[in-house]
Amino acid sequence: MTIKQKLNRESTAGYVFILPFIIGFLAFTIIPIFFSFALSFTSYDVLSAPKFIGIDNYVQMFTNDSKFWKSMGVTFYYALVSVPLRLIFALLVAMILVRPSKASGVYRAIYYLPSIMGGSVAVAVLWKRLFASDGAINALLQLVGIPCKIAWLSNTSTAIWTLIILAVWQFGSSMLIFLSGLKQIPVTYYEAATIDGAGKMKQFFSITLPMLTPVIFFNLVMQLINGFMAFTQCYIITQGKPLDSTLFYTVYMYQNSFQFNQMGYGCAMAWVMLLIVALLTGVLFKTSNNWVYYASK
Amino acid sequence: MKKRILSIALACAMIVASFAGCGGGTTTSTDAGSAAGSDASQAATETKKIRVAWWGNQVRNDRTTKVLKMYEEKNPGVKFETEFSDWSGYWDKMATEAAANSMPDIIQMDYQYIKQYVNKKQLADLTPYVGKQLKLDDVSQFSVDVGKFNDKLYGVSLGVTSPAMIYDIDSVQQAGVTLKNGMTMSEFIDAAKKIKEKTGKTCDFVYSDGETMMEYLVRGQGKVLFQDGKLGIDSSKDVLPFFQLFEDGVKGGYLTSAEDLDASVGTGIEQGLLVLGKQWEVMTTSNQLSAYAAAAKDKKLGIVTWPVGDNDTQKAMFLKPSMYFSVSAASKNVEECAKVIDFFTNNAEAYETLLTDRGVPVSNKVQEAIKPKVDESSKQLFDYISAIESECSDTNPPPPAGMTEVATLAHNLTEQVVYQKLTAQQAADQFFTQANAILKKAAG
Repeated sequence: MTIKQKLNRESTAGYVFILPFIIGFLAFTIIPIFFSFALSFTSYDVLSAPKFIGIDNYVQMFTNDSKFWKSMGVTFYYALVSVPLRLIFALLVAMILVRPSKASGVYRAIYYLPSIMGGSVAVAVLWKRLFASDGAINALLQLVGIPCKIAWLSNTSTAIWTLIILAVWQFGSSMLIFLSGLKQIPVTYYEAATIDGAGKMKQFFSITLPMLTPVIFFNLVMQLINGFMAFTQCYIITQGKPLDSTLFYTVYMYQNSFQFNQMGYGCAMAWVMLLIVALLTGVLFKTSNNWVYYASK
Repeated sequence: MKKRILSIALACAMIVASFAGCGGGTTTSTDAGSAAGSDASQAATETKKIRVAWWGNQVRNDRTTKVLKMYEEKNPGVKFETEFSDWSGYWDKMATEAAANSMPDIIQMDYQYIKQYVNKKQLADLTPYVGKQLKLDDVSQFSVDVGKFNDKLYGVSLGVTSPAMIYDIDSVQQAGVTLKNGMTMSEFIDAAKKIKEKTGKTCDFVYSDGETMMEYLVRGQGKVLFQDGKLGIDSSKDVLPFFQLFEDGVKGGYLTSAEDLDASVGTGIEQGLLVLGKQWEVMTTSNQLSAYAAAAKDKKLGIVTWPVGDNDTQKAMFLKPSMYFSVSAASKNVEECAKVIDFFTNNAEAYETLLTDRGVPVSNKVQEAIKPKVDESSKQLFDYISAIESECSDTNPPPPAGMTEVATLAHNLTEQVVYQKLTAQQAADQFFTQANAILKKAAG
């Protein structure tokens, strides 16, 4: 095959078109990932050349760093509580919005809005003010007659919940996916069920939920990964306070890498998190055979 | 077939376009025609682009930007690019930029960090420019020496500062107490109790950055808290008084509540507890006075030294450079940078704008020139610094690597004392062991 023929193949043009992405992906994702793996075996203070120290970072992490375990616990709690709550909430709203009505398009747009803004610094700052002891939440509670002076953000048992509520509030993208999932369920199933005398509840658990399992599965995996990677909320709103009760793993990793100048240790932490998320996702995929129902099978 | 070649060409164009944004030279040419025809033969002059970075508050941001504009007007061909952020974000950014070899040309440096950056060879030696572009003849020996490491000049101090307590005069008068330079800690606590009783306002002992107060109290015992690879104290006994301040403050009710303290961490002066009126004092450094005065316009502010330990054997107060300007070792315009720093050191006109936000000017001539022209808070600062000079002993050497982590540890432990999860004794014990371990690791 001559060069000219090679150049003329359709696939060549295709590759050239995706080249900008591939170069970017290699330069800003793949290479840094492997670079960080190498760095995780070093002591690297950013300002001078890394020193190879074998698996010391990992040993230190597992045996001699109570904050590591603390932040791991907080992150697990956050992800495992906020993700199911968010999915339940998203499904509920989707069920309401799936009914055709004139304004449903507008409602869908409005409910999607928090998803777009929710991860931003501006909303995080807003959240901090909302839950301040002299903030809007307490003022509202007082308005309805509950004399409330709780300092939501300075109490070890409530602080993490302000972050969880913020996460649940960003239900929009899951909601949209649920919406399209709901629309794909053939109406005939419900008609048949109604004729057979099944109530709304029965229909939900016997038709809607099983038919939605692929969508639920997809949402669960995606959101769980997101949950473990959450950063902005903690960094802006609580900074891990009080008493490290909201210290996210990613924020502690950031502190180590950029504030304590222990980039090597930070990289090692990143790899541990990567393994954990990969493992969790793997387990989810394994168990999915037992609870996810694909109509095509 | 032509279509395919066309599509490949288009794709290539797209790639080129998408990477064009990544580059960017440091020098660009401008048309000199506008420069009133003196050197008409020269078609273009080089524009020197100089990046300047600093941390600080809104007041400093406005004033520094203005002075840089002044310099641009006087020196056509120099163009500044400024980077401004808050304290903690600043150091994250500098470390990253240093690693990427893309530090700004002129970097505002701090006493805590300068040694690290010198040791890592990130800063340019300014000695060759001294006496030429950079004149230091009017600068006090102390202010020159604090920028020298291994006999080379790596930073020029921008002002003299010292620990200082800034307080709301009305609250203090209302309680009928007086504060004075060099008062003891128990005198201060008595005053704090009375003020709390009369006004409801509380006090703080540098909760957000406790390490500074801890170091200060240890100084009073004639010891230096940080040494290379270990703490300069023999037991937890020396840091106990620091944690005790917080434990007693919580029990006595005159310390600001844990919740307010926590909420104030990381917020700027403008949202700080003194400005909001929750606290009657704040322990900080003296150069902050003008920023506090600007932020708390409704209050009359006074300034005195931090209280000293009751049984101090040595003068704990000290003078230190508030901050430096250093030049990146990677800078291509070190000479021009030296000129800029000279402008910030010797130009009295610049100080009519800068005032004392970075402390008392280091040049004696500038001090004399601007004294009659400065605002009220700068006058207060001049008086304060000259009043306390005799109360000071030599400043500690810059802290070693690992210091940031130790400061975080000190803060976390203070937090636990304030939330009453730890006693002062437990916190002191934990600090002693863990801080030693951190310093040892950082030195190794």
